[in-house]
Amino acid sequence: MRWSFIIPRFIIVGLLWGFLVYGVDPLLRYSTVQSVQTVTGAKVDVAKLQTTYFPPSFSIKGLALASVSRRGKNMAEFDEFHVKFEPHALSRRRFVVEDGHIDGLRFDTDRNDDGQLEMTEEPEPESSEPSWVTEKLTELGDEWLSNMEAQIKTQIDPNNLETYRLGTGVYEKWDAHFRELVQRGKDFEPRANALKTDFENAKKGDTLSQIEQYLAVAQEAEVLARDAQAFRIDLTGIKPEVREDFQLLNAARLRDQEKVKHTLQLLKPDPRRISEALLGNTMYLRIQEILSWVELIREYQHRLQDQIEPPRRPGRDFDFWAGNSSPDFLLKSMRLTGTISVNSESVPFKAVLSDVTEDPVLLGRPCVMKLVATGSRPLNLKVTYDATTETPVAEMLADFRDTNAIPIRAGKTGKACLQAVLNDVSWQSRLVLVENRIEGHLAIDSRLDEMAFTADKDLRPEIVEGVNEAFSHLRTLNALVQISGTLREPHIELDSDVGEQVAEGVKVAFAHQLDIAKAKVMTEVTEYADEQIQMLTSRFAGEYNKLLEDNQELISKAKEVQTLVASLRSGSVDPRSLVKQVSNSSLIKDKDRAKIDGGMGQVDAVLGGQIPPSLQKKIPALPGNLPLQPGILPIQSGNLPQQLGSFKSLLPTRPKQKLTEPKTKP
Amino acid sequence: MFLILRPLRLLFKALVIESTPTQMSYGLALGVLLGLVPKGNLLAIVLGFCVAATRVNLAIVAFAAVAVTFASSWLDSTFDQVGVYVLGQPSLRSFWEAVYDTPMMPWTDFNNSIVMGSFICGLLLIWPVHRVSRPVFQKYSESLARHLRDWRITKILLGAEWADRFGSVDA
Repeated sequence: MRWSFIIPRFIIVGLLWGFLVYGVDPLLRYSTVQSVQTVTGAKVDVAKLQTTYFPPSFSIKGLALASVSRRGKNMAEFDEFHVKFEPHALSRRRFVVEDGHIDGLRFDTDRNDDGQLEMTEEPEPESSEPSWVTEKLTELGDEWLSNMEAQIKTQIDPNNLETYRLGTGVYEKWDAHFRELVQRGKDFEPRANALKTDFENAKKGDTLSQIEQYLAVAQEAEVLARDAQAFRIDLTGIKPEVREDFQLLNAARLRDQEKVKHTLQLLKPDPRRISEALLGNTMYLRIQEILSWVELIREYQHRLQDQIEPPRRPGRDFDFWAGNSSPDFLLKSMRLTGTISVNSESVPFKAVLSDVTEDPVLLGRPCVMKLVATGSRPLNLKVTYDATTETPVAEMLADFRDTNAIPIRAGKTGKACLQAVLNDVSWQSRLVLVENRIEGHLAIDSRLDEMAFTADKDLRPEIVEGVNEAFSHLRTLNALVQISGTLREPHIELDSDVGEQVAEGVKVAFAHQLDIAKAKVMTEVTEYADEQIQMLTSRFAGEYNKLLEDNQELISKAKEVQTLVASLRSGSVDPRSLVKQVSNSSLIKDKDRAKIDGGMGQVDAVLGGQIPPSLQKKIPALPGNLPLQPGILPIQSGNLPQQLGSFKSLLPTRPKQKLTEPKTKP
Repeated sequence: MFLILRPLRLLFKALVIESTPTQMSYGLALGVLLGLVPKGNLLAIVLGFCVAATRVNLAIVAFAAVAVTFASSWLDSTFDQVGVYVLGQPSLRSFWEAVYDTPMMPWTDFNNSIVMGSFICGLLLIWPVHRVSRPVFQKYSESLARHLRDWRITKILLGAEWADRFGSVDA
């Protein structure tokens, strides 16, 4: 009975002891690996995990966190991680790490495998947005002096020249004006045609109606002539205004030339662009590196927060903290030693991490990490993460020195290229991160050595020499990068005194080139103004002359009609001169004019006693032997005019005899 | 072989055979208590130790604990109401604070309404379960023990066959 009681209890105790001694560590190791893998998204290797109960402590040896983005690389790796818990707090279910250390911490080390988890989920697509640093570096380009050319081009940009603006305005003004004048000229055409038609129609009908119509035509002709005369006055009146506009254009040209001259005197390379070309590559990449780290840490921080969030238990937990409440987790102090890679060089470092907690508001102190790295690239870093307020604020202060030489270059070798070497480089940065907003600066202070300017064969050697001489006094380089905006899209502004100095040096050396450029630009401005004036002249001169000619013709036609009608109205009709006037009038068509001339000739012949042969055949022979001279009719006086060439058609009308019928019958 | 079999035989005897109806009924009552209380806290472990320290039938304890564990989730809302009522009493507030401030007590999760409710319900069920199950065990324990003795594994572990064989030789 005694053994049957003891043995089962003994076995239970034994199993429990076995679990605590041999089961807890593998179980913790498994859960640690799973948890950290969830946080990092890549494989986690733990060589050994050990716990002790008296005193309570926790150790991990040989942990490697694979990088999720770089296959075959470890994001971080350490030899030993050890934390000692405060027993009193632990008995009250609070994890307070009195002291801890991570030894042999290294970053970006190689792995034997790719370190990637066999994910069943589709990986999140990478953002297609171009990195800001890529955009910045693309903007930089290699043409660090191209800005001068761009400035010159800007100066002769037609949109910036007053000559162009004024010329365009004048052209548009006169274009509209001439359209109006041409339209007015065209408006006279139907009136002239109507006058012509009326004049021709006036010849028809009886004498009284002819007189009436001639009077009406005369009135129309008078109005037309008056309007045409007024239009002519308007036409000739624009000449002074055109002359005035040309003078304005000329004045604008002179002002443009003065402006170009003045601008080119002030022209020099853009210091900001030179600074960016020289330092942008180095500084932007450094900022990008810092921001990437910040982003990565924030991402892991969020994942870690999700992980340490206790799983939601059923039921409701009552809080019975009576006295001084404190966070459930508090890392009072953690020492870190290892190596970090600075500019591809492994630099040993020591760091202290303090006041890490899951409830900073309750703790009331910010989390602080201080890091000191030694070697040829000493680094002092202090990161403060203050989440004691509603909006967490992270501040990073870094002081970094690089005793190694850093070569810098602006432009391409073979073209205009500026090269130098930075020595004793000292970086200082302060970045403040509030949510996604970032604010801060990165300052660089260094010694500038071996500054040299080279160029291709197109640039004269004395200019190259002049530039190098101008640069010879440059000894230090100071630059400041102001950072603002968001983590993903920071706004970067680089400012450096070296840019200004280089720009001045280049300006002095390029003085001769600038003179040539100035002359070229001035010529271009003059040519441009001439072109404008020429364009205006050629555009409107032809139209103006044509308008004048048309107007002159119109006036003369109107006056001619007026003259004809005036002759008729006066009563002193000289039929021959009247017909001649009508025949010579431009109002009569050429065909009609020929008919009139032919008719007049025949009439003159008949009146002169000559019978046309066609008529003679139709006259029957007289009885008897009266010798009559063929073709001669006796001249009779009476109503007929006594002079040759009198015009019978102007006599009072009488019934016409048909020519086909013989005048006499036997 | 003897060193292995003997402890197993003693264990099996202790678990199955040599129990009184009272031990069995208390075993069932404590098994119900263990089964009702959520696992994964110090309270469950301490309860397990306490139960193991008594002379109750551990086989029935284990069987009851496993069976009730699966069924207890259906009663969580009831336990929650009981736990909230008990833990939410203002008059008991200072008591609970004192308990919570006691070393190791926070590990028991007694401040959780379901843990507290199920623990109280389990405690309250000990006596009724014992009283109800004891007559049943009295009636059926003998026939159950006989039935179990007929199992081949029981016979092997208890060495009945060997005892009979050696007994016949000695005779």
